[in-house]
Amino acid sequence: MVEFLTIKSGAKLFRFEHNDILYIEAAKNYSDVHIAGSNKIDTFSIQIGEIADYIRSQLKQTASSFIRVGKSLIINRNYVQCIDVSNGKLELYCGVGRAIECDVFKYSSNDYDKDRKKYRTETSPEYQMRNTNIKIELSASREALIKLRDELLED
Amino acid sequence: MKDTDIEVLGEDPRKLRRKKRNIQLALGIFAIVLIVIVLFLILRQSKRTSEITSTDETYTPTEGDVGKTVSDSLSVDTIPFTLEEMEINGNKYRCFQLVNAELELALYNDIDTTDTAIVFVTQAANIRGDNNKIIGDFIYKGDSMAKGCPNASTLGFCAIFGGKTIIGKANPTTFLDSAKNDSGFFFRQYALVNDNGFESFESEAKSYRRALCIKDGNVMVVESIDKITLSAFAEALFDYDISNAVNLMGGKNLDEWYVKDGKREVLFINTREPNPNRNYLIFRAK
Repeated sequence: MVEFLTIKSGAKLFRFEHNDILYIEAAKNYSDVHIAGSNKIDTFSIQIGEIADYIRSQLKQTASSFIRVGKSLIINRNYVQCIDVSNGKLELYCGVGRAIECDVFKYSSNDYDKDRKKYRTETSPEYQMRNTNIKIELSASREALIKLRDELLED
Repeated sequence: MKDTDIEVLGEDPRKLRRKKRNIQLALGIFAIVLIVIVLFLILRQSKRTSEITSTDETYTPTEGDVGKTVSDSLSVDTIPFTLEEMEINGNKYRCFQLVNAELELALYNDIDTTDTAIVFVTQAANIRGDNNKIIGDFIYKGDSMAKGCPNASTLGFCAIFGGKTIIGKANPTTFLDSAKNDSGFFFRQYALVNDNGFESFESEAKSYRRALCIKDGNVMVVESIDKITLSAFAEALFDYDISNAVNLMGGKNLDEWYVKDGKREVLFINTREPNPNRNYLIFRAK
């Protein structure tokens, strides 16, 4: 079943097929939506909690594919490959992907063109990793990872 | 939300299905339990109803019948009979033992239900189903109401005369003449226990059994609370050290009641058509 998550940002409306979303990461007052199989990140000037609400309200059948891990991460459980509790690491793997240049767009509610120039640094480890392979490593607290592991063991 | 927490967004459909399954299971179990309880109550009610029906269906107490006080001359020390329940060979029985009462026979049209001296009533000789006549010799207040000893079922007898009660198995017997001459009573039935021990019967039919017995010189009516064969009944009486016993009418389609604490306790009601030959064994308080 395919469902769409719709996020409105300024004058634009973004629609994501639910299984295209790899994970969502909070960045202060913004949220980055990472798309599976590409290095594309959509950033929205809404908090991750609001995105969680959108997921709950819009995705009737598939909302439970998404698990909020801690305060700043929402992952798509279908892409979880490895949970390393001892090192506090969570690996997501999105199968066949394309390594393309990361093109980060940051949208604000007011000035799209001005903010467009503000890219995430290419030297950040997360960016490089995304750019070079289709395996993503995220950090989370050990307690949260234990709970996530137990949740996924029920699958 | 803490960094140490996780939250599944939207309810997990698997959990939803599990929850739905659990609810269905719980409802199913509840329904079964409810059905069992209802069935139990219905069965209990129908059993109670049938018991009530068997005792109240045709017997309509008239004023003066039920609740009549036994004669004021009787004190606790002069109780007419004792009633006890016991178990013999795994079956339950009740025993009405004559204490301060006399044994008599009475016919259907003669029994006075307002007579407060009558404290125990049961039926005695069997009645033929085809012609409604009493089976075997029957003497009533010295008068012969029926004659004969047609078969083995009537070899047993009870003769009541001159304050004595004789139980035996014989044909002919001089006690028949004694009853006749002394304005007494006499009836015939199956002999169950005598000097030779207890009788055996071929029939395996089970029913409520009754017998007039003598034990250690005391006269008593022993009846089964459980359904048993006639052979088992005879053996039980023998094991209970009864020296002589003659059968009384069995089953539960008969008139039987006793008086306790001034109140009539009805055990069974005869639902057959009234018959002048219906005969009773009674305890009459002295």
